[in-house]
Amino acid sequence: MKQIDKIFILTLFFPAIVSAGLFRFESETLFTDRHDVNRERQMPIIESIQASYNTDTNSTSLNTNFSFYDDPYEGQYDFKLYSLNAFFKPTDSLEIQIGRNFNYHLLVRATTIDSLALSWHPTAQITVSGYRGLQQQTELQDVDLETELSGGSVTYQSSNYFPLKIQTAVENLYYKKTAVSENIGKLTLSKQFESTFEPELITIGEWNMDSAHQNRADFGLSLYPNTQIVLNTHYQEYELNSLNGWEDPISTIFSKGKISEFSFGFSKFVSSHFSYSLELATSTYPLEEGNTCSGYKGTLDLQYRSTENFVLSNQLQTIQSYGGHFWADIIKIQVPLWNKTDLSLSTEYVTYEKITSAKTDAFSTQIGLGTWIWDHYKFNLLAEYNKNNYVKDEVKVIGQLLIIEWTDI
Amino acid sequence: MIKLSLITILVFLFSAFSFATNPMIKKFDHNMHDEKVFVPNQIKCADCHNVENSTNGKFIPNSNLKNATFQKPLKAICHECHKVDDKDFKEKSSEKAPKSCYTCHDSFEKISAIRPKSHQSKLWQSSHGLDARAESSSCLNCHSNSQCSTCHSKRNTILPKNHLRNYRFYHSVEARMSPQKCNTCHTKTYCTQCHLGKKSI
Repeated sequence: MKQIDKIFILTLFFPAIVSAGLFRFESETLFTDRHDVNRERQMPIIESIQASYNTDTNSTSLNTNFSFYDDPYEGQYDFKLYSLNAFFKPTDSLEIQIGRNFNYHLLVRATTIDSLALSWHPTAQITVSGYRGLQQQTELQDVDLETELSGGSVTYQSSNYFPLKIQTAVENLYYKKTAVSENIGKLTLSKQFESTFEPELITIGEWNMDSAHQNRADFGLSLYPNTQIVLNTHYQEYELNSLNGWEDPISTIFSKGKISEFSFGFSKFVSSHFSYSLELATSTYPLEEGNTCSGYKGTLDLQYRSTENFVLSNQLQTIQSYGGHFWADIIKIQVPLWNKTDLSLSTEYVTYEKITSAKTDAFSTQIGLGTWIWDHYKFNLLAEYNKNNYVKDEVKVIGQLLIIEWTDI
Repeated sequence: MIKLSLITILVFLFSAFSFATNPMIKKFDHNMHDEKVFVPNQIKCADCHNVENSTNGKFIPNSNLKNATFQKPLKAICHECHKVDDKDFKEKSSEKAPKSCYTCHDSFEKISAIRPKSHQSKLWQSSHGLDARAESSSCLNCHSNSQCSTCHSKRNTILPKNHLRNYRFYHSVEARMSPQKCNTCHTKTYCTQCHLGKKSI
């Protein structure tokens, strides 16, 4: 029996082994007929399954998320297990988590990890956590990072409606292939304020504790003047040097020092049907010693949604960096045809100029028909057309079957 | 940049003449609560809404929160009655507020109606990373961490969720704008798989 079959069967047992609570099951089956970059035919099927169960009191939860890629035409098969974990709360003050998960809530840097984690709440305001595990890489054709992670954190969070949160965390990364270890630390401070604009302030710092080097620093401020407007600002400094592990981070390909980025976002509900948002960002970093480059990004989103669920959205985006520039326009339309059937149309037009190639453009459009063939089963049939500097005219058909079960048991 | 500045100014001018209703409030059954909760328990408008108690029946906005609809965050108001952590609450709950989280958190429609203010606009896509690193325990109130994997770990080459269809033709422009963002989901091996001709998709 393949690993996939064992896990699939396990998800079916989820509701059988638990008491009252919420069971959620999501399945997505995708298939298409296409050609790869070497113009060889592919007929892949991607099956993704997510299932979770939570008790009424959140004292127990079970989670899994996995997918498999199968191309009978090419004879390729790949299976990925993204998460399979259990969370228990044996007492009011103790939490245990075991298994594989994408862990962003305990680790200094979010990653997929096979781990055992314990959290203890000596008081309602304080949490002490510790974990140990093995990092997992879940990309297609992935590499074995063989990195052991262990660490802990202490968190204080005030219990009022506008809480203050202070967290300090340390983590040891041991790279088994090079037998080198690295210690990193993180300090987080966040506070919501009770005033007209309900400001939320977040500051996060991360350091390499062996060299006292600052890996990254984040400063974020969000404002909510009323229920229709959101304002975000974020300033980030980022300098993740060569790790002692398997490979350097991607950012080191381009930047030879600290990356500084400032971004601003504004969003408004003009009416219950129409909303828009605008995001601007600028960044700067050294390409080499004495040579700094800058980048700019702007995104404008407009969305209209009628009471009959007719949706029209348009996103305009532009980016300029030393690598070139591009303008993109993405239009999406969703039209409800009948009670359980909708028509969708999306187009993406991009014009770009790169330092590595001449000015050109790319176009893609999709038209789809989706229908709920049963209460929890939705089937989407999409036709996609692509035109870019690789394919002149490419048409492909995509099928998608969604199963969404969300039930109180 | 001049174009972007003009767009910014237009957006702010436009926002000065507009208003909207909160989708969270629309989903709340106020009539049912009036009948079953507020009137029998003598809960006044000012206990939730941003008005000061008055004896003459006229509403006076709280001057400290002049633009807010409510006295407290909406989540806090709901959870004053619908709280599951309170041990005494379970005994009372059959007579008063339903105890289960899933009264409100049980379907996609309701989840989207009661989502926190940081999720109400498309800005969440660019801001959720910072929020998750700082307020991670709050995310787990509604999300399971396997939901992160759907976007951050899965490589869906048929219907990509994170990048546009033709992104591979101009991704170098954005990679040179914010190279640190690539690190969130990719490793250097991912680059070399194509750039050194080791993989074909």
